[in-house]
Amino acid sequence: MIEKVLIANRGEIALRIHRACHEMGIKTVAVHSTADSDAMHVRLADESVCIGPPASVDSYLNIPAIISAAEITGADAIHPGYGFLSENAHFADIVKEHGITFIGPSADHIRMMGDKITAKETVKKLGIPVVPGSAGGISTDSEAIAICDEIGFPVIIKASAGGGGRGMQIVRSADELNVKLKTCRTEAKASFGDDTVYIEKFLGKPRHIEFQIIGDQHGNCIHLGERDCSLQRRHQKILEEAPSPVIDEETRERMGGIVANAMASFGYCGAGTIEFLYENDEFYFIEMNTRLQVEHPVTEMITGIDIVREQIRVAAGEELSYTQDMVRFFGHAIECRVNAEHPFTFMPSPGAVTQYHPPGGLNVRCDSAVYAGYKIPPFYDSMVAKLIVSGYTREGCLLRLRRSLDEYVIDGVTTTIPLHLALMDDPDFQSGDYDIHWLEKFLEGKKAE
Amino acid sequence: MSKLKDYKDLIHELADLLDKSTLSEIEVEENDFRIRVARELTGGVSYSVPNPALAPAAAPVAATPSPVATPAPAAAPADHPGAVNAPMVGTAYSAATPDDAPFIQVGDQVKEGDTLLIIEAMKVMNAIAAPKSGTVKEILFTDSQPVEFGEVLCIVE
Repeated sequence: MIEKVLIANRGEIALRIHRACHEMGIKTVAVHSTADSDAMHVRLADESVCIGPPASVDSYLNIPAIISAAEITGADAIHPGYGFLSENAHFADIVKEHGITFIGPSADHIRMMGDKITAKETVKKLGIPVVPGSAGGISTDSEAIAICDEIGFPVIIKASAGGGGRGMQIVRSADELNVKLKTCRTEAKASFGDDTVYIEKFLGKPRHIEFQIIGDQHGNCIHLGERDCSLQRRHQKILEEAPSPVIDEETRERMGGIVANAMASFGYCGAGTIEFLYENDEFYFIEMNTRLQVEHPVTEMITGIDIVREQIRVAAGEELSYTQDMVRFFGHAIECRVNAEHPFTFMPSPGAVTQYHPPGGLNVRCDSAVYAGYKIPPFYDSMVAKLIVSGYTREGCLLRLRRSLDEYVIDGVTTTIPLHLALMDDPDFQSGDYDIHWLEKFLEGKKAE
Repeated sequence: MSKLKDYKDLIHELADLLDKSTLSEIEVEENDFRIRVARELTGGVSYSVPNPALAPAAAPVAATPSPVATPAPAAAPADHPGAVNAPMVGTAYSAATPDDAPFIQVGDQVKEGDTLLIIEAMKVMNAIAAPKSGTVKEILFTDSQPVEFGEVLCIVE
């Protein structure tokens, strides 16, 4: 079993990983930038190493510094968390070359799923339904027009090397096509260094539904059900729930089975999430994230399974702790991402947290690295806490969530808690009746008020 | 009395500023008025009024507060102007090989660009050069010690 994990991340997820490690008797090494010297996980970890100045590129993305830190502390494994280097196949290769266990899938699998075109081709062969569109990258404008004729407008142009909702253009009619193709290519080249683009059917009112899977090195792979992450602003999720209000048990078993079997035959090891757009009872694959997701706690709350623990176990060569028939879904869970931003203008609000009191009680979970006196640095993303609440029913969960949000104190900075409270009061949200465009319309309405 | 009250407000303002920032002391000077507010090593904020011209001549004062003796805080190595900080994570070696003499000893004169020590990172030896000429005042690492980014290795001034 792994003895010492270097946590190559920061904030709440670094703390999450530290907790899982300590519960398993595994020592932790916290690497951090100078801006994070007082971070909670740095204080709690067994060892810490400062790896660079505040800028991510010089610290959390600094591969030599991270590897060097692993060498001087004798860490035998690295957990990359989410974001940063977690889906960097090159990093996974280097970690392995240094005889250190990378807590995640193989570099090859990261590479395959990192290229959106290859990912689509790969999962299609494995029997997972995909969005109709171009078979691969588009080379000529006439090719583009032909595809659009076949699948019908509106379509969406996506960067093959993109992800996280970036590098996309919607095209509603043939006259816009050429211009938008050019724009998308230029942006893709600038942001991702690769101007390969592909075209997909644009779905009007889909929901974003993703399935959690975990595989081990012995050919086993199970699914842990779905999460509904349709509430997004500019492709950033702000609230997630499990199960999805629109997915029934039979659909869950069927789709979950398809993805778990696909990943088992793929030989996938580690935690992964297959993301779909769901419209008119049809699932359409959009991408696979070969890492732990921010919203993993909602799945943990309804299954009782510690996903980070399983990640560490399978990386160490152990078999999964659960078979599919041991996985049970109980009740409903919702996660609110709390950001240090204005709730409606989203103006960032870094600074000192003067008072901090997280809510508690039955089935209330707060994943956060914030504490009273903590100074939120301006160099990183603005998420400061995840409030996850579960209940027997979705209604009970909503009542508990509202109570918890009312109780939550984060003084000194502006947070998006008021936005979540406003959602609790909205009839569409209460009935679970929303799609991926819903939140932006809701926010437009709020701005007008 | 009102002048003393102004100073009280000013002192409170400066103390607040001190609390909210990472400064360890603030000094304000104007004509023959000077006030200094400093954070003591033990953690409290201390007030010192060293300029005797401050005591108002006319208005009766209950007791002239004696200046609080603030021990000059030892300059934290990291803040020292001559501090040489590690630019990377790795293992610090004081000599080129285990058989060689160390690059520097306390008291040595060094020129800008002279090698002070080596940091090994991922099997690559990196010579760490003196950022400026001066005398080696302190060496703050031992041979084969793991060092992190920003760690103070030595003081040259």
